[in-house]
Amino acid sequence: MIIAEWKPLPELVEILKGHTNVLVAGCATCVAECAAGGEREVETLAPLLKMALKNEGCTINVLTRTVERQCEWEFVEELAEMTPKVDAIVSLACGIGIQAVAERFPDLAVYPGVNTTALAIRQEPGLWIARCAACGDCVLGETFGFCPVARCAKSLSNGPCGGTRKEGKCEIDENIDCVWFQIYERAKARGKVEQLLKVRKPRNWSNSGHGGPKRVVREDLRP
Amino acid sequence: MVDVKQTGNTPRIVVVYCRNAVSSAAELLEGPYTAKGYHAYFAALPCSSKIEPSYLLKIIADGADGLLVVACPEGHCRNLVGNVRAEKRINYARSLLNKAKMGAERLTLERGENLTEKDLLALAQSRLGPLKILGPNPMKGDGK
Repeated sequence: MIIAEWKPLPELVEILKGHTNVLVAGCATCVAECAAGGEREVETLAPLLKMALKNEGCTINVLTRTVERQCEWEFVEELAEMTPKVDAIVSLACGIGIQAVAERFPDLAVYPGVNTTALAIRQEPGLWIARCAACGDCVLGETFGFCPVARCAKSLSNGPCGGTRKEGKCEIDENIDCVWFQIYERAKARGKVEQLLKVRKPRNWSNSGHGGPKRVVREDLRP
Repeated sequence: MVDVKQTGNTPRIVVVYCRNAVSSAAELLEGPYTAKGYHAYFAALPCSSKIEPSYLLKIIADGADGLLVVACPEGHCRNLVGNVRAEKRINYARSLLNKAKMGAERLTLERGENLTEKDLLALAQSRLGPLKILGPNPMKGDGK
């Protein structure tokens, strides 16, 4: 899932000063799963914003609405019935949803309520860990199902580096597993360590963030 | 829904309590209650774990001067760990209240078992001192 975290409250308070009617819009998909922008978080942030702004001398009316997905136009449309009543929207969706809302309602101020941070898995309750960097050149087949781009602090294609701790932890944080240690352990368990001796060539980054915004076209799906 | 939107200087305290923390012989306190020096509103829950940070914050945003959650003692939850979860949620909501400069002390947790109506009223009364230090809720009269 895409994960996000609330922006610091003082930052939100600062951008909302001067507004009187605000819609806090949630997204019931990824950001709900990571407890940043679903209905619960929307209904938590709404009273919090009212109180924080009141303490800054600003009284605002906060409306709330959570749609199934802010990255699908059909669901974004559900916000349309509320937009005549507000002068700003705080979207708690990921950066994709925020941009969709801003594109659908160009006359309104649309602010991000969260910082979108990673593609992650919920490892255990209350703990999310990045798993994918959307790099456009997946090597998971060669690395025994562990992504060195997202999970190695240096994104090494040919690891490990010299900083792995004795316990198989990363040198930057003792709570983070060294992914190349994990790759080695799984290769060993499968009896295929020799596959790791192959030197992986420089990655092809042109299929993701390089060369402008990524576009995927499927003519068979187009109108 | 807890109605705390009244204005005025008399402190308003909302008490949300686990019905399992109350003696089976006691009459459940529900709804508004006026005592000497404060107004209270009592609401019983099937378990303290039913609270959510959003509910807690909304009650205070609607003007309650204080909000007291009464849970069973740790290890005595009929639903295993409900009261431990409640405490975590309360701590989270308190941290948010601090960030909003509302004062975490507006929201507190007390634990008890076999409580009587008199005990609940005494717990509500015990909040008056700390709330006096905090002063009135600035949201009073603003609740929407």
